[in-house]
Amino acid sequence: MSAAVTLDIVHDTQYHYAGRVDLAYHLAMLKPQDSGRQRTTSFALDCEPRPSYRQTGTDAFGNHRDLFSIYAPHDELHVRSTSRVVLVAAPASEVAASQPWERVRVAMRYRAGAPYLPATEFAFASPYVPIVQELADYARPCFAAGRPVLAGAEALMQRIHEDFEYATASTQVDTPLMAAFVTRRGVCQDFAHVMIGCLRALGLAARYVSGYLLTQPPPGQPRLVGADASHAWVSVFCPDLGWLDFDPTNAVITDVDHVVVATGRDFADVTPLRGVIHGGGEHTLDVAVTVAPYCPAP
Amino acid sequence: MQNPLFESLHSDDPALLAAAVARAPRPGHYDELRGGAGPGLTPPWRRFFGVLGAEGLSGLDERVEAVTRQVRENGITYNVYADANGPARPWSLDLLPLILEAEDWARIEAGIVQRTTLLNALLADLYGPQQMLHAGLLPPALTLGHPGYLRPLHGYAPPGGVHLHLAAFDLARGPDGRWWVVSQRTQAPSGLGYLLENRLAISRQFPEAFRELRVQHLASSYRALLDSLFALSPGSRDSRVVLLTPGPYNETYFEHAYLARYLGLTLVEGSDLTVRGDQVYMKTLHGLERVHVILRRLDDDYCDPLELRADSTLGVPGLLGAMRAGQVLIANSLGSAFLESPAVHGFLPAICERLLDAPLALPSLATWWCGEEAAAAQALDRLDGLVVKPTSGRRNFEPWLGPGRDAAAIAAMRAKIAADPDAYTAQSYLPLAQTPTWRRGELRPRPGMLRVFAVACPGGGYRILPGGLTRIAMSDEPIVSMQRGGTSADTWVIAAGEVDAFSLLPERLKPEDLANKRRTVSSRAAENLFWLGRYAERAENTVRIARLVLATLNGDVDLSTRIREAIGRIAAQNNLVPATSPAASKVASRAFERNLIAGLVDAEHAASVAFTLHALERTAGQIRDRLAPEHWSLVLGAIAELRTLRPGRRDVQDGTAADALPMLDRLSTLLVAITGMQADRMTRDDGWRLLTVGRQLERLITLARALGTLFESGAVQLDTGFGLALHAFDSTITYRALYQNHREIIALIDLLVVDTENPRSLACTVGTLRALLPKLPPVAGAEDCVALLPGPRRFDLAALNVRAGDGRYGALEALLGEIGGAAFLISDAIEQRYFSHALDIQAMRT
Repeated sequence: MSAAVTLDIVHDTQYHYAGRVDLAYHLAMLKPQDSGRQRTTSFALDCEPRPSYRQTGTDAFGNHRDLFSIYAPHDELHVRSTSRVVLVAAPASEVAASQPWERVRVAMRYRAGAPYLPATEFAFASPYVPIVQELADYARPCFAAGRPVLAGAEALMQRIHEDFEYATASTQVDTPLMAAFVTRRGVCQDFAHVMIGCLRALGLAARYVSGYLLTQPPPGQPRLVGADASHAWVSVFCPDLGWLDFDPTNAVITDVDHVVVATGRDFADVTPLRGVIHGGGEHTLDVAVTVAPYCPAP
Repeated sequence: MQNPLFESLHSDDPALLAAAVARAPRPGHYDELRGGAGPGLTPPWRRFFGVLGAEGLSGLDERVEAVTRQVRENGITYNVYADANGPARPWSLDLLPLILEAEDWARIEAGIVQRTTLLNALLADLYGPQQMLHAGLLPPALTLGHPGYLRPLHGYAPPGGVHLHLAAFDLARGPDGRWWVVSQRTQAPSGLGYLLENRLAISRQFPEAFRELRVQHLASSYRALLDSLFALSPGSRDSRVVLLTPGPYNETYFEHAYLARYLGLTLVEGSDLTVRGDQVYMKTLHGLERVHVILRRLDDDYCDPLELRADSTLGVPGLLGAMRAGQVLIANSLGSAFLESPAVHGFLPAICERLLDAPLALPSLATWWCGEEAAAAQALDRLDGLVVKPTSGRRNFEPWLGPGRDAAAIAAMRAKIAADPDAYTAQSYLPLAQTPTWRRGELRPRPGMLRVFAVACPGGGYRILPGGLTRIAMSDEPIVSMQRGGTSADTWVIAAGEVDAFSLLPERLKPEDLANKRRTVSSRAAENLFWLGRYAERAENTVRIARLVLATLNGDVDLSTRIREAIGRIAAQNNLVPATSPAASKVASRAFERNLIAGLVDAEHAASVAFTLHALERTAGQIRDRLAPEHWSLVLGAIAELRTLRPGRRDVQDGTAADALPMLDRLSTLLVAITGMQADRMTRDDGWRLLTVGRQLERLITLARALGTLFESGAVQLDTGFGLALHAFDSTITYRALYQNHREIIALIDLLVVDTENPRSLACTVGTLRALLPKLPPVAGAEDCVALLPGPRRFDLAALNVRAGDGRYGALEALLGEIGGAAFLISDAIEQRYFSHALDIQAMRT
């Protein structure tokens, strides 16, 4: 296995509006991150109709954002992002060598004058992830006394993977976390929110990762769920090792198949494409994502 | 009226008299009237009553009435429940001011200047380097973990580094006379308008005392706020400054409209503004006009549905982008909501030492945030002497008072805190100082709190408005709240030196002011005016037709089938009965009538009379600042009139014309008065022209259709049908005057269609539109609306009076159809041309 892989990603989003849209303001978070084990070597964002105005920037978490607005009447919107990323294989994970989870929890609590860990930000409730006792109770068996925090997270990931049914279209983007938790069903976004909620309810820091998953199954291995759509998973913090990514939908610690687009507290921080439109009425939405290994022309 | 108490006192010293009629305050509370020492009055209160004199003292009851009257006449209201049907309650104002001596005020002033400077510096740090977090001086849970910390503005530095242009602080005075900060308001504090109204009302009641006590004036502070906005504006002196309100249903809307007028700003709602590129514009009838400064009364998270709350319909999409680009000044800058958490108070002393290198001058109540273990341990030990408040909106509850609770209640609160410590903040319980109020011949002490205001100065720094909004609890409640039925009082600060005589009240106008007096009409106001015209006319027409139908069905004339059918169709066309209702046939007459009466009050049914009146109220409510108070009262009166016929009452379910007709008569009178107001009492600007165009279009639609039905059905040939046509056009009296009892179709066509002197005729209505439409603001590339209307030559009496062999008036019926169609087209064209950017917005996410 080579140490680095190159992936090409095309992400198409198409809106059809029943009525005419007079004005539209959009915010896209579609550019893959250029950090850690991942390099983004090219990126293009194309919109039809062409935006009247564009602004790019970086959010508080370091993610790339594209703001664009359209002031001409339109009844369709097509947004295509095209990216190429190079991923370096992850070093063998040292989940067993991480700190006992209780020590991490103590490090997240405020004490006057004590040094502050910026990761604390990801230990609080956020728009999609409330902190509730039921989630702590659910996670507790995975975190025996003194267990290394990342080993506990891995066990929790396995537990969610086994207990929850992956069900396409069972939830909407704004389905509350607790609805998915109670019915034990959902899509990758719900799996991620549930796992984040469990970790935060124990006082740990966990963040939401939006990204893509390589769709090509390795020979002899089962095909991974999540193909042809955006994907989402969870990143867990350990003070001495930093962040490690867990994919509860597929029960894997991420390697070179997972492309990181943006990280935040939950889906609300990293929504791939959001907007406010004037007019439009009902709309239909088509999303198509293709992730493929880069094949240089022969 | 002489109070018997005074007669028995036999004293000439009014201060002694006052002391005699003053009830003793509760023990353990500071007494504003007597000060700490007692039993005599404090020097300023002695002077106050001395100036007032014994006679003045006996006339205080009348002054209370005068104040109440003025509040009512000025329309000062406070919406208690911020919803469409909630009552707008008159503002409550006590007669006696809270009087603060110069030394007391100097301490407050210095403390609040320092505190506002501190909070501004803290915001700059938290949206920048976050040193206070790294130093462990402020818990991240209270900042980054608070929903009010706005990440889209991380790294944003507002113009001049000013995050807070205006901040409010609630102060309370403890038993020893010391002042404490209880809470701080940094997003969009309310009170600046109400306190000004309080000042105008109360200083008028006590002009001598106001002068003699050398009470400091307020206007310079408002001027400073305006000047600093202009100084920091990206548009400098030529800036357009607007005041952004959530709208008429907000609890303090009165104040928004009042302040906008006082400060000379345009009052706008979110839908009046639009972002193009990275600039903000106001949508007006004349196009887009650049806005440089937004003084906002909208809470942070509602301001931009694109980057903040996606479900906000009150904000402006793209506003944050314009802020970051430096193209608009938002006052206050967004993102300070977490400073309003009571938990922050506990950390300010150390932060003040670090950021300002000085001790915090004016302390907050002792505060324990339970998310910090050491603090929680202290608080849990003494809950019986504390007040427990929510740390943020994440877990909301009413403040919980420890004193007087039994052990079980305290244990229950302990358990709640232990389960979610971050969400709870404890503050020491402070017995509030008691301030004198006047109640029927007595000075009664009531617990009060003072809200003071810091405003940014043009050259940097802050000044404190020398006064404030004093809020008083009605009974001995430990919590003071206008929402809970408290009252307010003027706040008099005794000047240490000169009284500042600056005034912002209207000055004498100069000729150049008069030359530039064109009033900007926002697209939203224009749309509301247009619909106000349409709804007022629609209400008038449907009520008249309902009356006509009921009266005809219950008349002494035996009705032919042809008439009954025509009546049924006209009633259905005007949505008086459902289209599927049984016809007004002789057999089903009662059922039809009951349907019609029940439909009048059914507000759910689109286009019922009730629905139209509520729509009229809603549109009028949106533009109350443009309407005479009487106009608004008439609209409310019409709704109240309709409510006399309540759904669910027996007379509605089994309604008879005898019940409904008198109500419809009274309603009709009110609606005619509304029309009169609109015709005669409104400024004739573009907004008024749109209102009138709306009214005339509605009239064409209704009357052309009704007349068409009467001609097509042949009903007009019968006595009753002929009379119906005249009534529908409100032209019965004119016809009688001209033709007495002669019933001639040609005369009818002449009066209702062709006559340009009958203001209700179709030709006259079309003529009015022809004159008004070209006066509307020109829009490039828009088609000519006038061309859609039938030309004057089409109103030819001879041609219209031609009756074909089948008995039909083909030319007339064609003209009537064409008029109705043109009215619809013109209405659509106006919508697109002037208001279409005001359509509903929706949020999308993938």
